[in-house]
Amino acid sequence: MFKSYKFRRIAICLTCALFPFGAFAESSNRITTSNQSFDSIGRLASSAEVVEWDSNIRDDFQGLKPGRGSVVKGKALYEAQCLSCHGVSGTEVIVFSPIVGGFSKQDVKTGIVEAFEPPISVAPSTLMRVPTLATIMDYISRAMPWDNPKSLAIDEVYALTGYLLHLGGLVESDFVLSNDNVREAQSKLPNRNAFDSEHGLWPGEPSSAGGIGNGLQPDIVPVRCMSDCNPADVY
Amino acid sequence: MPSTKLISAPEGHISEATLRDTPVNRRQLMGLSVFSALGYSLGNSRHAVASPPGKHLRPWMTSPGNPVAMTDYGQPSRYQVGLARRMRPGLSPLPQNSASFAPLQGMMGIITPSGLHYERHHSGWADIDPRQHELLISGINRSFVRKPKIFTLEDLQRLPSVSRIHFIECSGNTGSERKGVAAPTVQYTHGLLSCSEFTGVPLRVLLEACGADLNRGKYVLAEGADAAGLTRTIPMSMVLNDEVLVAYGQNGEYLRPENGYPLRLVVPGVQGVSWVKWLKRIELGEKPYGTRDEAIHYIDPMPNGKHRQYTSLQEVKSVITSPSGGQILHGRGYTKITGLAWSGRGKIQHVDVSTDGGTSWKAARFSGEVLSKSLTRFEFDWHFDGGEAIVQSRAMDETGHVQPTYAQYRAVRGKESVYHNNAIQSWGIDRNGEVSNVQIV
Repeated sequence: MFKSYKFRRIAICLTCALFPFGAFAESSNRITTSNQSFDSIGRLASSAEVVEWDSNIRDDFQGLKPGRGSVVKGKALYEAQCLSCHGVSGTEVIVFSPIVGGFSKQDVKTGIVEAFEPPISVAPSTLMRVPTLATIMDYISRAMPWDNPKSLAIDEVYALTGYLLHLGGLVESDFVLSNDNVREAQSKLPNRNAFDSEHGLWPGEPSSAGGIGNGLQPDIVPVRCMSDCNPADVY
Repeated sequence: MPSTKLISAPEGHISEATLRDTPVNRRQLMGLSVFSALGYSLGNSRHAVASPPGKHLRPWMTSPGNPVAMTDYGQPSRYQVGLARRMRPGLSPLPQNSASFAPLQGMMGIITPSGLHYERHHSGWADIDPRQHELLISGINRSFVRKPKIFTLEDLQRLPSVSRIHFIECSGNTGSERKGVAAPTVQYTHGLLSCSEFTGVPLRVLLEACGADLNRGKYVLAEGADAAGLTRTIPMSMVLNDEVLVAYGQNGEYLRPENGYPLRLVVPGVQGVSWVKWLKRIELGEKPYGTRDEAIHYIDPMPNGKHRQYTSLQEVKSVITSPSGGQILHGRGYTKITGLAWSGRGKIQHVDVSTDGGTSWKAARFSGEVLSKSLTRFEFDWHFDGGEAIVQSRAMDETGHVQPTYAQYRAVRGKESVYHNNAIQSWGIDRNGEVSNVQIV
């Protein structure tokens, strides 16, 4: 590779200067991809495959397919496929926690459910907690009903979501949920303004860099007391 | 349901009935270390009893033993039948949407045997045929991932891999204790915790192989092939620094079906729900996803009535696994205290132990490796003098973060969140050496 000993010695010294800790001679645990081609491993996905597999709906409705479903149709679907677990009113605890109940008309106005002021005395329902309607639609479409998930057509997802809103008293019985009014329906969710992500438990980029949270700054900062400590002391 | 009452620590996972059913008779038991486990019920026998002359020989010393490969896959000793994962009665009406707890009280070192790994499924588990399982790597649109690709298990095994030891903890671990003492044993208070060596391909390598735009991609969505179609948002910075793995190996063999076979995500230091099992799809996007398990469950109600969202990290925590609730000390004298410490922020720096309910603390000894985002085993030498005691452990990680008391924890987080309880655990020891779960408030 090198034409003369002298030239090689210069190259080695240059390497030493560039990597003073001897990185060139040590094993590294970082896998380099720049000098590799993995093209022969795995197969290219077709556009149709990507579309078919990509069935999730993000909480801002990204990924939601157009459709519509009435409360009337939702009621019939609910009674046939959901009632045995969730009960007639959706407030029952049969198998899962309640899906509706636990919030007031005032909560719908403020977007913060008061019943979450401690101590919490009710079994929190889905509608009482969830800040984003798209999350409900995503979950119904991919995971419900419990014993037959991924079986609902998109119009049925709209209908069932609309019926859930009706059970919670948020829309009338003649309501039809569609891709045109999902954002309007979103604005009725009683806990939509009660979420806070400014905390130290998100391990990614912080909100100051466009991400989430405060960059892993702990909210509880005890000292390492070794003697004469009072276990009842807050700090 | 086996009894949660344990005879002794740490050997005491053998019931007297089990011992009776074994082919060794009472005389053969004399002098074996396991006998000390029964010391309380057999009185004087805890003191050395000399074997009669010629009786020290055992059957396995006087005739050849079993052949090689008698079992295709080796099993634990038949004398160790009590070490089992258990479901807590009443935890969930549906066993497919439930959890089983690892028996921390009887485990050693830091590695969880794969068959004892805790379980948390949202809609049951399946033993998936790897020929019918594929992983799609794509973007929210083509501008994020130029060449979406599909990989099989066999494909992934052809790629460069890494193996790393990490803990995994359910964020609901110890949630039962948030309002006060609830569970009787460490298996139920802290057993949603395991630690394994995981082998797999860094997700960054796969994304690069698919032509991903790693500058524009800020979050990854991971989706499982289970009936719940579990989805979670994964932070990009952990992907870029190669911490996030698409794993197929666990403790030297393939993942167990209950732990995600054939593929699961590994997200060190982050709560178990993000380690998506039966991984079938990775999507690169620019925003977090607010999935069901980020917006309805796995959200933390705070004292101000609001909910924290995207609480993912498991903070510094430790627990004494022996002596622990339900156990009875061997008797007065030297008593080894041992337990586990871990932190999602990195390595454990110190573990301190108190035997007076938290008034004074002394540094414990590490009895094994100290690794980042891994369980760390500690031990502490103690003399049980027959007086009442409360034993506790308190960890500090390499960032200087110290595990809180319940008073400190509840002053900030309150009592409502079932998630992320990392407060100091106390075990009360009475004059008879019986250990029970207590809290100091």
